[in-house]
Amino acid sequence: MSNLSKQLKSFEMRVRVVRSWRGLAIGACVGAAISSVWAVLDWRSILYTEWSWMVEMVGSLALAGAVIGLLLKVHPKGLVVSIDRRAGLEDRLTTAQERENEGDAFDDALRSDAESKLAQLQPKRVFPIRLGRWHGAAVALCVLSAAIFLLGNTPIILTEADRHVREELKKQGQAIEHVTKQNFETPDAKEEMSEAEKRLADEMRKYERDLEKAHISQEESLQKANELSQKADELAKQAAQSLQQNLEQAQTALSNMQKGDLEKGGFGDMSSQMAGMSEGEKDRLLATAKKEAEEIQKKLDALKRQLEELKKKLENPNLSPEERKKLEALKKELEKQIASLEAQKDANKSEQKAIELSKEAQEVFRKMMEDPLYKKLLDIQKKLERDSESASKTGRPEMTDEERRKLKEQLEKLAASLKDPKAMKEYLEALIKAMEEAKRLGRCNGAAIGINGLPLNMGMNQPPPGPGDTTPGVWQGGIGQVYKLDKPTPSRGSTTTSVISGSSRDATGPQAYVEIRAPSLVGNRSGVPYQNVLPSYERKAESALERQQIPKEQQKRVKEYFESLTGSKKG
Amino acid sequence: MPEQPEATWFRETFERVRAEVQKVIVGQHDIVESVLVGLAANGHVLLEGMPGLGKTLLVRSLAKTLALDFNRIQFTPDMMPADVTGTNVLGEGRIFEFRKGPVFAHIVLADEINRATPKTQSAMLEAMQERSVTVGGKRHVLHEPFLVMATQNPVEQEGTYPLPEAQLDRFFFKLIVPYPTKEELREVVIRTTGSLDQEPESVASREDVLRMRAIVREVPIADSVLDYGLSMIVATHPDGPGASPAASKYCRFGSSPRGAQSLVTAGKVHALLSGRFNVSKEDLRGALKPVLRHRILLNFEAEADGMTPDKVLDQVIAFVDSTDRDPIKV
Repeated sequence: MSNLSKQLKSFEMRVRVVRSWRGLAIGACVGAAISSVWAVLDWRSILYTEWSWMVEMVGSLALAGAVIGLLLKVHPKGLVVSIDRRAGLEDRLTTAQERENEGDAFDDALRSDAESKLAQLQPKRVFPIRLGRWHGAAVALCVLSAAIFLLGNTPIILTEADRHVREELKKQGQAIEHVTKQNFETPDAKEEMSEAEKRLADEMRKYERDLEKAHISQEESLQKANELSQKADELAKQAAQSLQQNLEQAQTALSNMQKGDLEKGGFGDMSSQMAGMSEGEKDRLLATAKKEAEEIQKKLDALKRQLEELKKKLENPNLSPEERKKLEALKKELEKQIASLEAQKDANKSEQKAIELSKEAQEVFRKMMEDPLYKKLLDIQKKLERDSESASKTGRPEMTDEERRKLKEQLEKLAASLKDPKAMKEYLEALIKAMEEAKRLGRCNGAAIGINGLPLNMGMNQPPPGPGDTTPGVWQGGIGQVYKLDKPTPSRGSTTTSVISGSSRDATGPQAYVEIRAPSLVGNRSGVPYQNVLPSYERKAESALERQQIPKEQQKRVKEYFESLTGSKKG
Repeated sequence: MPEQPEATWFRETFERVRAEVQKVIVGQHDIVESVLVGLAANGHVLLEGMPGLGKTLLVRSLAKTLALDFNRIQFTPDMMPADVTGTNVLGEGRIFEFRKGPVFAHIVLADEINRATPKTQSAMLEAMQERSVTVGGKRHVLHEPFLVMATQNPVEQEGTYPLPEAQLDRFFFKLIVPYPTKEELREVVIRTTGSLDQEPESVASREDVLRMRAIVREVPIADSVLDYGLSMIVATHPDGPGASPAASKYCRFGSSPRGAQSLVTAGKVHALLSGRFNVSKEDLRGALKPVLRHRILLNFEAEADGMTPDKVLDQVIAFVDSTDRDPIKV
């Protein structure tokens, strides 16, 4: 490397720094320009933005510009030409660099002349850091974007009534945010959501932002809420259908595989008792069990005969009271022994059934139960049960003999199909998918309920809410929560909010609850005619009825209520 | 500043000659320097100016200073080419001998060259270009160094034959000799009307001139600088892709390739005189007008707008400078 090249290194670094400074300004300029457009779109409710997002946009582009400026190649030829121009070196460096390897008469003198001139220069003086046009433009655009954003987002230019509306919408936005978070932003949901759910979640977020920024009117808000509610319903229906399809194949066997069911079917201890047993041992055990059964049956028959005889003796009217008393005691003893033998007989029967289930089937189930997928399946099921909070406490009825026979057949069939480990895995995966569909159903239902239960203020330009209105900050229609009023609450207007009377569902655990309210009328200041809003509420009520979220005892009452309001009777 | 013996010698010799000439010529520093540049660059010079401005004195002084042969040819309409180049005459042995014309000198002053007929002018211009004359089918080489300094009067157009463009192109420089300032005029009057008659001394030789010309050729020029110079040449071509707006509007014809050669050579001399070992853009800018003012031909529009070649060239420089940007934008 020549002396000239060495000397140029510090200038090259300086150029990078100055370029970085310029790149910063260009990046900021571009970022501020985009932010300005963004702010306009935000103002026009086309694209939502936040103050912090705009700052991030400007900052990130400025940073990117600075980095690009720093990393851009500095061409040596361009560098010397630039230094020549800036320092007035009259093309000394350019010529010296071109003739770096030449040996003509003037070349040595030329090089030493260029080097001595360059040595007298300071990079910071040749390439000073200045505020240029780009910096000015960046500042101007930043101010512009901030001004547009502020104008579009501050209520200073609004009337008192508009400000109030804005506050109301903001509250509704917060409520929607709550619903979205509860249903779509849990760690599980984020991993498991389908594309349709993600779209719904996105729409809900946009709706929430529109509300928070008051970019939509209250009427539009109501329409949007209805639209989103319908979408959530639709998704819930789809999820239910999908779940049904998946479960059609798997549900029966899955439930049969539950340990409790196996026990009920008489196959409870099969894994512990029967595992590792040979066919010969099994036959021997079965023969012993049958022999035992025969003996029990014989004893039972003998006891039953004795009991019959005893009953006949007791029918004799000539028996003294003492003899009758003895015979009665004997009868009780016989009945007790018979009951005991009946129990032994049942136990023996179960044992035989367990032995009858093939060893191969037992082995398949044992393996399946040990499979991580099965464990995952159980986890999901537990989660699902926890989420729905309904299935766990309903209990299962005892099985009949016919059901047991069917269960045995299903288990044998299932075991035959699951011999192949790959098939077993596929089966378990199908079950997991079904479970996930069930969770999706829960999420979409939750969203639909949440939106339906929004505290949407139907009366336009109403004063702040009083009794009878939705209470700010209280979630009226949350999932798994029931709010019941102990007594009617009179409103300031002409309507009274009635209590929800009647009885709740018998099922234990929390229930979903949607409160449907008529618009609150305060004096004569209602902005929307009663007839205009009623169909919307009625639709909501019908939707809730369709989803069977209203207890049966209440459904009739709801129907009658709307019929009385509209004065018509629906079929 | 680092020293280079050849460059130093060149500069010192140049300054010595200039100083000696300036002993006789009052003022006209740029003209004197330009004439010397032409001499060092091996180019002929066309001096345009009013009579009595010292053109002839300048040339004669230069010849004396350099100890070179000097001839003066006063061109007139009836002058024949042989009057310039020489002719074959019957000698004593009844054989034709070539009798050399006035062109056979190191420095030739072609006074009022535009008064000669084109035929005679072309004989002179052939000698300038080829450095030889052909008489009777025989070629006679002129002595080196050979420098023609032609003069023409810009005002007396009657009875003149303006030099054709092709012939003008053979002049390295066209210098406009200005009127002296009042102070210079005073000095001229004092010197020429008094008893003191200053004569220049010989301070350099023919060999020195040849050596200077050889040194000039050694000066390097960077590609970007050459490109800049060529851009200026191309910018004078009215129909070319790199034409400047001024050239497109006011020029009928632009510079020839000789213009580019002359520009670079003049730049090299300027570089040496500035104490540099390379040609700079400033050198080229400084040489542009004397090199190109006789090489571009203006149209009627230029005449109507009162444009002169120098004004057009100013705009050409401005145009090329505007396109010559700093490659590092910071």
